[in-house]
Amino acid sequence: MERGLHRAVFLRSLLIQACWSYEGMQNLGFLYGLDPWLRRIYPDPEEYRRAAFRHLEFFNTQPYMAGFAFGVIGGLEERRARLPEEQRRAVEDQIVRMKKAMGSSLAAIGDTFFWGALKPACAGLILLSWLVFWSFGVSRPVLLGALLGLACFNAAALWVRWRGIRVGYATQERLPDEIQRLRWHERVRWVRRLGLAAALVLTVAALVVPPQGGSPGWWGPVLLAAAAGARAAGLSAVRSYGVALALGCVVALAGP
Amino acid sequence: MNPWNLFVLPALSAWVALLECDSVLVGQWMVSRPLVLGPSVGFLCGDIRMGLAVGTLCELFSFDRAPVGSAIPFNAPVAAGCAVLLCAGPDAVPIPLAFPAGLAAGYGHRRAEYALRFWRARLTRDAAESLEARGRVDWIRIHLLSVGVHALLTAAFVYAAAGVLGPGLSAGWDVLPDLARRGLQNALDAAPFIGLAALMHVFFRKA
Repeated sequence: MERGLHRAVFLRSLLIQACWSYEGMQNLGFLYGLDPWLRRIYPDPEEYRRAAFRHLEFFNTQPYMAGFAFGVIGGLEERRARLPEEQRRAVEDQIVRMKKAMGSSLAAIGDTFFWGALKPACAGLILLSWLVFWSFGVSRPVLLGALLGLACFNAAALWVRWRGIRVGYATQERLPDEIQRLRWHERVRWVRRLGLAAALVLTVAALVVPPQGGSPGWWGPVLLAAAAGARAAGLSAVRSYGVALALGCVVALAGP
Repeated sequence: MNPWNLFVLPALSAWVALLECDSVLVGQWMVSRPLVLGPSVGFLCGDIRMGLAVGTLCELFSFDRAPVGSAIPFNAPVAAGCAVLLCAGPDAVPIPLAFPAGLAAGYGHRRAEYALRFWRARLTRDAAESLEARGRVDWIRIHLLSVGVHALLTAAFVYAAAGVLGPGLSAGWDVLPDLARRGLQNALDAAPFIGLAALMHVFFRKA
């Protein structure tokens, strides 16, 4: 795969959700990403047009994992173009099947890793770095902490986006084996552990130095236990806040 | 109209809308997260600490809500942007009221996003027609239309939320019964613990 083409598909993959709709979801974004590749594979305008129409079909996956799909489908389109006319139909069907299968399976991995582990862990890292930077009197703590968190998140996200295209292209039908070899579950576990450590430090810090000022009191652990209980019972943070508002009024009514 | 509503608020609303595009449409570099957006808007308003506090609370209330599939979680960047803007300006709303108002704005924006996602289906039809007629898709036009309309709508929404609601909420705070004010303050005091419990829950669940 040429470097220029790889770069073009990667840059275009950053806009995979730019035209997200309920009807086709990422269909336009996928076609936009694959467009330079299709133009190269099909110099004949009619062939290109037919290929482009094929990719206007519904497609959806986790945006950071889309690189794998671009690589696999680009490779399959290349294979299709090399085949004689009567054998092309089978590859076209395979492309449709692969897109459907990859969309959901890549999304499941990407959602768990990026949304479920890395994003909250990086949020925890930013908060923790602010705490540390402030404690040690580092200048521009807010900027540095935010940059640190963004760098950690984007290093992983951009690497997967960039590398995924090449891995997908190289492995094609063997992509599931390659994905397994990348040990996502283990990585998710580690990120979660790091995130949990950051969250625990932040919680202890909030109990020792209350965020709203003043000295620590008995109400800190009580509030935390109540909030944790509400969360474990399935109450979202916003709903818990609604309960806190109602209880806050009751406390205000009972107070001096 | 004062200079805040005429110049500063439109510019800041545009900044919020620009960063918000990162959340779904362009890049997903996380610069739209309240932890980044809040302090940046706070800095532009001249009070980075307030932006930091509000942004952190909005982040802790939203990080576990992912835009998975067709789900539209409440819009955290809009919530943080509106809450920070409500806290700034000539009719500054106190944080205990601005924070829930920001959350409400984040929920309100979901309606607009929902409508936009239906509207964008026409872009696929445009692309198909363009392919049929000219053999190519006008990608620049399609992207400008999609992202531009989204950004404009978000900017208008943030401006309306901060510019129209702001003075009303500010005046409302003054006439609010003492009980409600103290209740809001108590809820705000509890908010960091609610957020931290949510953060720990995410990792405890499957760690």
